[in-house]
Amino acid sequence: MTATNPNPNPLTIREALRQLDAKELSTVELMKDVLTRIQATDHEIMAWLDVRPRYLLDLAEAADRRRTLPKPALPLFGIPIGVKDIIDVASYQTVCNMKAREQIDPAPMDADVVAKLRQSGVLFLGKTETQEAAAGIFSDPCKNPWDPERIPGGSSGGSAAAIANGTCLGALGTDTGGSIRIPAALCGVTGLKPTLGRLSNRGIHPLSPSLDTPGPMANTVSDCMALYLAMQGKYREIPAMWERFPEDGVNLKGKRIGVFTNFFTEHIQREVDDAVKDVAGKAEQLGAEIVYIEWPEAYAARVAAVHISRIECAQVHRDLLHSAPELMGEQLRIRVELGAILPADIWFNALAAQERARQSIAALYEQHQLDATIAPSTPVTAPKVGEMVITYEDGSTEETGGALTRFTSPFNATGQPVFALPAGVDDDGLPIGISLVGRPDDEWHLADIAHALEQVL
Amino acid sequence: MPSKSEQVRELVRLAGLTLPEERLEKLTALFEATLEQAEAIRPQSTPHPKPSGYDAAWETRK
Repeated sequence: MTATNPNPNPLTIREALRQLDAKELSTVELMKDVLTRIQATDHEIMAWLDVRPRYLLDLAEAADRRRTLPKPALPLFGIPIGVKDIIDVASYQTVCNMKAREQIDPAPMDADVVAKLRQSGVLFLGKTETQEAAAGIFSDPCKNPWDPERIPGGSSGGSAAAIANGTCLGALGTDTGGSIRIPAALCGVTGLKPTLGRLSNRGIHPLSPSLDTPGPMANTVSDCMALYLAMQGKYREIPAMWERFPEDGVNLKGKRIGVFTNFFTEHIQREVDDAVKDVAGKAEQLGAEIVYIEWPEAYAARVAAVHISRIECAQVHRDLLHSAPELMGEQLRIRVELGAILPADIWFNALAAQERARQSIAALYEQHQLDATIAPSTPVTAPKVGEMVITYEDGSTEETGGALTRFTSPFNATGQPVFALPAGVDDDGLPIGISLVGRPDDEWHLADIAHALEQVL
Repeated sequence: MPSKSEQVRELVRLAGLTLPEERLEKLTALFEATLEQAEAIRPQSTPHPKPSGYDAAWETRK
């Protein structure tokens, strides 16, 4: 056992709101606590960018003064939140971990989801580290707080590491091929990739515009749903929402949950495969009916998402590739060069495969009358920094980026909502993550199931 | 039929890029792998998908 949980008893958004409301905690105390943790640990973890302590303490003091007035109608008032540094926050640079953007002007206005979240009363602590242009899974130089010799995953690695380390209560990420779910899995936090197209991408630096989506990350399913509602501007639904997620008496009676076989059980760390079976067993104990299913188009869905992403990413960074390729890191540059030369045939083939994948997964859900499906989020737990190739127990190898996106990217092709949930630790003490995959636009139903499982995992 | 290496050189030229030999070799390997993946998922025929099929299938249990 080499890894340890950096924050075994995290303060949830729900509990912080209760304590703030009961005056057991002030916004200044909460802000000082997270700033102290950032100061004490972030020189090693490097999850944060551009944190402004004096400004944040002023904001917290103003929030506490506001609390002395009649109760503010801001459902997430005073909650400290991080924002992935490809998402615009007014007055902050959006560097995207790109050399070419190091001198970029601060964003003049918030991204849509940030503007909506701001109106819920949250306090933005700062920007969180990402992979260069959000195109990858390492998030260098950010480290995994469970074991700083390992990567946090990516590309929303800073957001996941910041939550896992107790330096914020929630954060925004984005997901194109797994960028919320992979770091959530590797850092032991919860994340939601919403239905594709559900949330606005305006003000978010694109990676692959037809697959990109922002989403919330936090310590619990209900915290994610509170942020998800706020990101849509549905503030009035938040106070009543908490009652939907009781801590006791949960069950899954009447639910049918599929467990993927074949594609999702090949080349996988033993403990991760065991964790999926364990989650299925616990779902069954809660009353769910478990159905083992095969999705033959899973590989096609994965390839479709990867090829679409490659080609679109090349279009996004085409000008930079021509004008200053030396400012691009090698991983981004080779990705863009490849995308720039792929013929249209590849593009149309990928779109056709995406459509087949969508039809086939819908048919599978219909055939088995499924409410959700379970899959591993990643085939392995957090790789070591610099580990570019994964070696499996059977001796086979796989490039790390390809391995970590193998189980996530199929659901970018289908556009389904997915909750990434922590599901125990492996023999080294590193977190294991599972994915709970729902029907399009069915986030609430999915959240009910995810919350029930969360209580027993 | 030109080799993959020749195809990549021509595609790089058409894209307006100038790359050194070692990058062309790396790109050729990735290009070949991408074509293999694409071939593996290429349909035998390309029927028109039913536009309403996707939504209709999801609706049955909501």
